[in-house]
Amino acid sequence: MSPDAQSARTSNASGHLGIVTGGNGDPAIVTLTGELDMSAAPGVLASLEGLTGGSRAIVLDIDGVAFIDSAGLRCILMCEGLCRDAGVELRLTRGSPRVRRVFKVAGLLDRLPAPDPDPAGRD
Amino acid sequence: MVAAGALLVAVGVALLLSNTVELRSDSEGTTRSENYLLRVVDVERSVVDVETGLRGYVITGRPLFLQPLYGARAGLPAAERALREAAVANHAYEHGSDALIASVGRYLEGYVVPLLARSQHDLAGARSSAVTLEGKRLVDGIRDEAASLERGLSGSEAARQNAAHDATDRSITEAIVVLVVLTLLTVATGTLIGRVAVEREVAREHSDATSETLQQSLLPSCLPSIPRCELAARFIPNSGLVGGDFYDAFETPNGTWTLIIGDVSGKGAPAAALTAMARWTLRSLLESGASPVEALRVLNSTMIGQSLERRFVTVACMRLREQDGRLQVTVACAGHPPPILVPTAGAPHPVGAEGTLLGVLPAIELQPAEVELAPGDGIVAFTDGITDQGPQEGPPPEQALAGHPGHGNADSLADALQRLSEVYAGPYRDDIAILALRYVGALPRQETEPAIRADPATAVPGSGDTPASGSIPRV
Repeated sequence: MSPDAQSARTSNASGHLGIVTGGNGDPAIVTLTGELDMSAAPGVLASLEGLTGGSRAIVLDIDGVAFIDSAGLRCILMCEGLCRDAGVELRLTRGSPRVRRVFKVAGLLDRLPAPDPDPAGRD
Repeated sequence: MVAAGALLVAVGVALLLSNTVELRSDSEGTTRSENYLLRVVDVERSVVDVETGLRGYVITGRPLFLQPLYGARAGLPAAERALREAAVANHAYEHGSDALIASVGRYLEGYVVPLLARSQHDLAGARSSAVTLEGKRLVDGIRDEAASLERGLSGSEAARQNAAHDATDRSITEAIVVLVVLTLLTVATGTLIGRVAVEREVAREHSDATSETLQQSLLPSCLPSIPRCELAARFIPNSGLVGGDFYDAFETPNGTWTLIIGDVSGKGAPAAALTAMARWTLRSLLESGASPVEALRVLNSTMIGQSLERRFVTVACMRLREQDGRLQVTVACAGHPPPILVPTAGAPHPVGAEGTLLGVLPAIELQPAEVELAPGDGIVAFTDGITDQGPQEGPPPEQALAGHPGHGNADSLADALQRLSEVYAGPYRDDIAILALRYVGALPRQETEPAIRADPATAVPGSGDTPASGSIPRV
C-alpha cells in the first residue's frame, strides 16, 4: 500500500463527497468530506475494501461530513459489515452536531465516540 | 445541395424515430417488469401473512389469527396464477417463478396443512419450538428466492434504464444535427420533428406513470374516517424512483386505531419489495392486537437474517385510544424522527419517543411515549425528506408548525410541514410523506373556527393536496 494519501471525488446529484485515504497501516484513515448520500456508498466501500487487507483497524473520519441522510447512514452500516467480515476494527470519529443528530434519531448514537467534554471542543 | 440536405434530414428523422421507438419499447419493458415484481411481492406477502397467522394462532390459540391465514391462503392460487402470467410475459423469469411457486406449494402442503391439523387436537405440540423453527426456515427460503428474483429484476431494470438514457443522449446529439440542417432548409419538416418530440414525451410520461402506480400500491388507496378525528396525508415522490416511504392508517382491536409511517433505505425494486413487506407485516401484527412496540420488535426480527444489504426501515407507530373526551396516543419510534405534538395551548414539540432503526441489529431499544390529545390538539408524523434534502438546513419541524394550534385542521398542519421542505432549492433527493391527525373531540360547534370541518364524515383526507406541488391527492 502506498504511504501517500490517495483521494477521490465522487459526484452526487447536487453535491460532492471527498474521500481521502491515508495513515500508514495501523490504523488506516479514511477521511470523508462533503455530502454523504445515496451516490456516496460505492466510492466509500471501494476505498475501505482496498484497506481491509493491510490494516487491523480503520478510522472513518466523518468530522468533515456536512450532510448525511438515511442512504448515508446505510453506507456507514455497510462499512461496518464490510470491516466485521474482514476482521478489521472500524472506528468512527465524533461527527458534526448535525451528523450526530441523524445518528441519534436512528438510535445509533452509541456508534460515535462521546462528545468532547471540553467546552472549547469542536462539538 | 438541396437534395443532399433533404437526405440528411430524412436520415436524422429516421434516427429520431428509431430512438423514440426504442424509448417506448423500453417503457413497455418497464411496465412488464414492474407488474412482475408486484406479483412476486404479492406471493411473498401472502406467504408472510399465512406464516404470521399460523404462528399467531399456534402461539396464542386465538382463532382471530386464523382469519388472515385463511384469507392469504385463499388468495395464493390467484397470486400464483398472476405471477405465472407475468413471468410468461417476461420470459426471462419463468424458471425462477416456477421454483418459487413450487416452494410455496411445499410450504403449504408439507407444513401449514399438517400443522393446522395437529393444532386442532394438540396445540401444545404444535407450538413446540422445533416445529415453529421449521416454518421460519421454509418461509426464509421462499423469501430468499423471492429476493433473488427481485434482485435479478432490479439488475436488468438498471441495464434497461441505462439503455434508455443512452438512447436519449444519442437522440439529443442527433436532434442537434437535424435541427441545424432543418433551419437551413425547410420549415415544413419542422412539424414532423415536433410530432416526434411529442411522442417521445408521451413515452417518458408513460414510464413515469408506471413507477407512480407501483408506488401507490405501497400506500393505502384511501384513508379511513376515524371518529372525532381529522386525518390528512401527503406523499410527494421526489426521487423519481419507486420505493422508500410508506404510511397506513387502520382500525385495531378494542376500539383503537393505529397510524404508521415509515421509510425504507434505498430505492428501486428491492426497496419497494421491502416497503411492501414492512407495511403488511406491521399491519397484520397490529390488527391482531400487537402493541406498537411488539409489532416493531417482530418486524425487526423478521428482517434480521434476510440478506438485505444493510437495508433498514425506520417507523413511527401511533396507537390511538379515546377515553373520557381525550385521545390517548402511544407513540413508538424505531430510528424515525418523533412525531410533533401540536397542542391548542403551548408550543408544538416532538414527542419523547425514540428507538433503534429496524433490520440491522438483533437487539434494539425502543422507548415509547404516551401523550394525551385534548379536543383541538394535533399530532403530525413525517419522514426525513422534510428536513434532509441537502446540506442547507431549515428550521426544525416543530417551528414550522408553530402558529397553527387551534386554528388549523389536519390538512393545514400537513401543508405547514410540507412547506418546510421548500427551503431546499432542489432537485430533491428524497420522497416526503406526512400523516397529520387532529383530535376534534366533542367540541361545541361555536368554539370551532368556521373553516374547520368538524364532522369527521366530511373531513376528506388529503383533499387539500395541491396538485401544483406534486402531491398525490388520495381520497
